[in-house]
Amino acid sequence: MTSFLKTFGLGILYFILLPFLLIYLILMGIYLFFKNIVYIFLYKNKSYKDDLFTKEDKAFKILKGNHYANSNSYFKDNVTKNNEVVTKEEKKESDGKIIYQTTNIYISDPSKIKDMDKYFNNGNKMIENNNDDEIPYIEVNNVEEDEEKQTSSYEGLSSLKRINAERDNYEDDDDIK
Amino acid sequence: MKMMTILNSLYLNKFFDVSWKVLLVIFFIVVIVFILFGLIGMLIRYILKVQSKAVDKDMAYLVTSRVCDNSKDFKKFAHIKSMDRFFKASLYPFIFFLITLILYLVYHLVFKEHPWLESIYDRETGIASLFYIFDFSNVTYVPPLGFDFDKLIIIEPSPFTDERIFNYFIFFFLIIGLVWYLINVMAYIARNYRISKMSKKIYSANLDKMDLSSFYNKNIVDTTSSDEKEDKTKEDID
Repeated sequence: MTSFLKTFGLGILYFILLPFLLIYLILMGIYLFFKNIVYIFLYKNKSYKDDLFTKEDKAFKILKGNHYANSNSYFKDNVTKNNEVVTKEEKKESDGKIIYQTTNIYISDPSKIKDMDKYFNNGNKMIENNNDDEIPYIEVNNVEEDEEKQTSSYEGLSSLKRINAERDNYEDDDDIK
Repeated sequence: MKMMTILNSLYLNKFFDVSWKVLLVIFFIVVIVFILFGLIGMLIRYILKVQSKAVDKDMAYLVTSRVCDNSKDFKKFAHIKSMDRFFKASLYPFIFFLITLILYLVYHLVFKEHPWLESIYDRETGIASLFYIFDFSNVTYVPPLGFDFDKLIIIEPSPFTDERIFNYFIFFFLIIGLVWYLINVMAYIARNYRISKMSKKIYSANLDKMDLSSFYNKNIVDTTSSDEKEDKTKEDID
């Protein structure tokens, strides 16, 4: 009953205000029509938006950095939502320290990655293709220096292979049980 | 008293006998009209709310990256982006307006006998020729709440001709362009409202919802109960 009365009351209010709202809308429409014409000239003049463009670039760079720092970042959730992400780890040695270099491989349609490249890398070559299987991937180059990293029986394998191996082992254990 | 009874018998009885049904119908029609207005208004409000969310989409990364860190910048960039959106969105209605203009010019160049300021709602050649027209000019009022509809003149729709078809198309493109453009204007107004609202909300130093007592009392008040303390000491001894 309250919702009915509320709708009824709003109906009376809108009925009374309708002509005024329409007049306001039409006047605003005429004003924006002329503003649109002015905007055409501003649109050609790119300096009008320079400040915004620089700020946008800066924001993308910051968010890109956050993405690398945090794997559950905005970009992973939104841009690569439907992409399958596989993380590959490589062990390297330099100056006597063990370095683990992680590489994220995005298996998806290349068009999206091209868009990401356009936004993130400003034309620098970021996307590479494996000649063997033609999977496009983005190198993250998230270099971690970890001298005390625990060794396991799966060391040296990529994470995908490691997951498969762990799963196989788990299934074997089930069979024994 | 006698006078009243005579009046009653002559007029009021008749009025209530006949008119209460009419009044009831009018009352229901008025209620339905207001309810419909209310529902349409609520629907428009909901649509405007959805359209205003475009501001969030445009400004989310500038705000989350803290590049845009004050309300002045937020307003400035949001207004540029909002205008940008409006400009791009209003290109489509302008295409319709352009088609309307071309059709209008062609119509008046082909059918030169029609004046340039002829209404497209004209009964003979305009959009009105598509519909039934009810001419109430001869209808008379019958008290208390009635009309003599015998004198109502109904004009039937006219058959299609080249002139009429031209006007129908002009009307069709004009009305679509106009409605589309006004919807875009509404969206622009909704976005502006959201920009002003968000610029106040995001950068306001509002401590209303923050529980500052938790900060101050963190190291002062021990919130653990005596039972929990006993349990802890037991665990320590074990």
